[in-house]
Amino acid sequence: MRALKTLSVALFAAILITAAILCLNLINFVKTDTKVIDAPTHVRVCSPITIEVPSFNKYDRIYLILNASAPIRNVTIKPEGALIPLPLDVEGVEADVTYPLLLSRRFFFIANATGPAQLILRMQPKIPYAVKDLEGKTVFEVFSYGEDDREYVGIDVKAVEFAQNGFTQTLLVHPLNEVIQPDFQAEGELKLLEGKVAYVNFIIMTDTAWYAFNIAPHTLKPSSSVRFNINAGTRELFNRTGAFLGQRGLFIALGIGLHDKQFSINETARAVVAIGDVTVMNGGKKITIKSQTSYEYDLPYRLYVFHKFQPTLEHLLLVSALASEVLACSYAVIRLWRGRGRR
Amino acid sequence: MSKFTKLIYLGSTKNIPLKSLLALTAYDILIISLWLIVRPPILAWLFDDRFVAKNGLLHYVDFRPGYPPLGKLPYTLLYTIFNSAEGILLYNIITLNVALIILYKLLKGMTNQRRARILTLATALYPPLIWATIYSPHADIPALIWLLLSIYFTKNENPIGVGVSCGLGFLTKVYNAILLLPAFMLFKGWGRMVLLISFLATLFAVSAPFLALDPLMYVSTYAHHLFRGPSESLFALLDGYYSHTGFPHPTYEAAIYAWQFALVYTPSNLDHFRYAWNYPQLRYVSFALQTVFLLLFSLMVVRTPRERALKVALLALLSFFAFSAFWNPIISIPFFILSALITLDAKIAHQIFVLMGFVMVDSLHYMVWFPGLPLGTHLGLLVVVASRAILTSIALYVATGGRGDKP
Repeated sequence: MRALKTLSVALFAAILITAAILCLNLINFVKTDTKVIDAPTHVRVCSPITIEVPSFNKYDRIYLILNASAPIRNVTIKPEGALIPLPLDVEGVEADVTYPLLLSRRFFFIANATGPAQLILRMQPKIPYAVKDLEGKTVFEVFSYGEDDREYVGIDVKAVEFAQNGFTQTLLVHPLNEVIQPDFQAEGELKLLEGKVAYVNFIIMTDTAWYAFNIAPHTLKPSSSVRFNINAGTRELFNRTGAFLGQRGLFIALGIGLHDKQFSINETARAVVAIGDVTVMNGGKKITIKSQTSYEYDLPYRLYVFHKFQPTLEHLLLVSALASEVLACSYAVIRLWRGRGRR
Repeated sequence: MSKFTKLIYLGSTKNIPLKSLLALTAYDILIISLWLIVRPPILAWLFDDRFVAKNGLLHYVDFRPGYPPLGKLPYTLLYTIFNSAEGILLYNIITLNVALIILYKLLKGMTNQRRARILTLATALYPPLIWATIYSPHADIPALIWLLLSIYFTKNENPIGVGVSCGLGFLTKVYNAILLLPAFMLFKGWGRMVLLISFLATLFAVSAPFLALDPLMYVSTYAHHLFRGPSESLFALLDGYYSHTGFPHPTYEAAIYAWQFALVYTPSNLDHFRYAWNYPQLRYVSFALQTVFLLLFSLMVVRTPRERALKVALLALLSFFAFSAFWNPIISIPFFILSALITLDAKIAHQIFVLMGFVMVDSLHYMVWFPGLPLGTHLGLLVVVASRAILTSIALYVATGGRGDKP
């Protein structure tokens, strides 16, 4: 019994020592497991920009965050296949419309090789809106449009894949961050330059709900324009009026919808829309979203290189030793307990 | 009394196994019928398994799921092999049956057979339990098995049983480890050592492969919860946050460690997974209340006569839930069972009154999730939280009255 007690104490000491070494190794790894690179880059829409990814190991994770109001045409990786992109999947849905990242564009890669790499981005002009797909999949091009000495943000939306309900919806989102007051009013103008829309909605996104107001119907003809004025008395799609008052308005958005039934098989499902200045009045304050399109702009980005733990032989030995020590110690302690009459 | 009720309410002590089996079969048919009527999108919850399978990742090595391995991997396995809702439902029903059998056995040892049957039936028909069985591919039902087993072994003063059950429970859903503290106080001398070492040995035996391959991803599964915000509790309401899980994040973010995830996001009071409290004191108030009552009841276990010590140990566990910043109707399941166990000394009518009250409060809680309730979400949850607090107080009051029924 005494020998068993000594063995238990020795094993307990061994557990503490092994656990301490293991923890120290892991703490040392965690101390340097992340590299953050904040850098500005200057975009000229006609030429690609290159983001250097510093040296990484296989299975490391690379995370790139960009401002979503500077839309991207495409991203290529050099050397090819060095980084594997993981698809965007928000709880099973491929929609990039979740509040935490509504105004940013995020890319996530798992390293498939060791060494440095380059991300080559072809950018589009910068506009005052973050552009995101809400339903279905689209490709879009933004451009500057002028008419009668007025500037508009133009967007050419093409449907790639309609959602099950037959729609695509592309959102143009702008931050608001205001508690919505009774004098809330949003005014603006938009034009349908080409193609067909199923609808264009003005959307108020609060911290608890979305309120959508139809501002352009499916009957809108190309080369025609609509002016809209949304206020507390305007009826939204669920027949509510003023339900958003007093709520925290986080974003306002324009939702451009296309429907597959509007287009024949040989026709490109597309709408080209131009958006004028949007003026928001709230609590006596006037906010104007100027329809400016920049073809040359500064684009800060943040790149994370997250190192992934790779087990070494030493680590495997330590874990095996710890597990064995705990099991042996438990055996010894239980024997002792039984030997002492289960007190 | 209808034929069905008669079948469930087994009046005679003869042929109990056969009658119990029949009752259980009838109950399972009821659950399956309900599932066939509702056809809930149970597989939609397994988006993480779909993502992991599609991108060649491994749980706990490349990716941290929201649950510990014994709570998650059986569902992953069922999803990978069968990819059908039926497989998940069958697993839930089997684990539920096991949990109900253990509950009945436990109750039979604590009270008379009649009350044991009534309480097992009340638990079996408890709406959140049925909802979790037909709708949820998460660890809630399997976790009950370990909770009930650890209570069973605590009652029987078996430290190995408690340690192993708490260990397996922790590896299914974290709350199961809480009973370890009051149980530790209940045992004496080497019994305490045996309890702790059994718990640790169970943890290491199951966790060793994950600790070997990537201990940081494995630890992240647990650590990630520290960044989460409150939900549907008094503390959530006081903080002005009353969403359930907040706004979702891309699934790929579970492919980095919890502290790396914390770097990628600025905390916000809109974001459940990287939550910034409006009143950070509330978080500490919740934690302090949980700790104080857990410690208080655990210490009281030492001074309580043997026959009442289990009840005090259960109060420690109950208070941990009661002051938690997280709540939803699924958390009510262990709470309901604990409430039934601590009120065993009350008159049966009082006990049923309290338990029915919890059924009503939890039903209202479900209704708050869906639009159309005249109270609205915020006020609705406030009513739910206040009613639950009142009912819990009544439960504690009736728990101290009466002499109870002897087994």
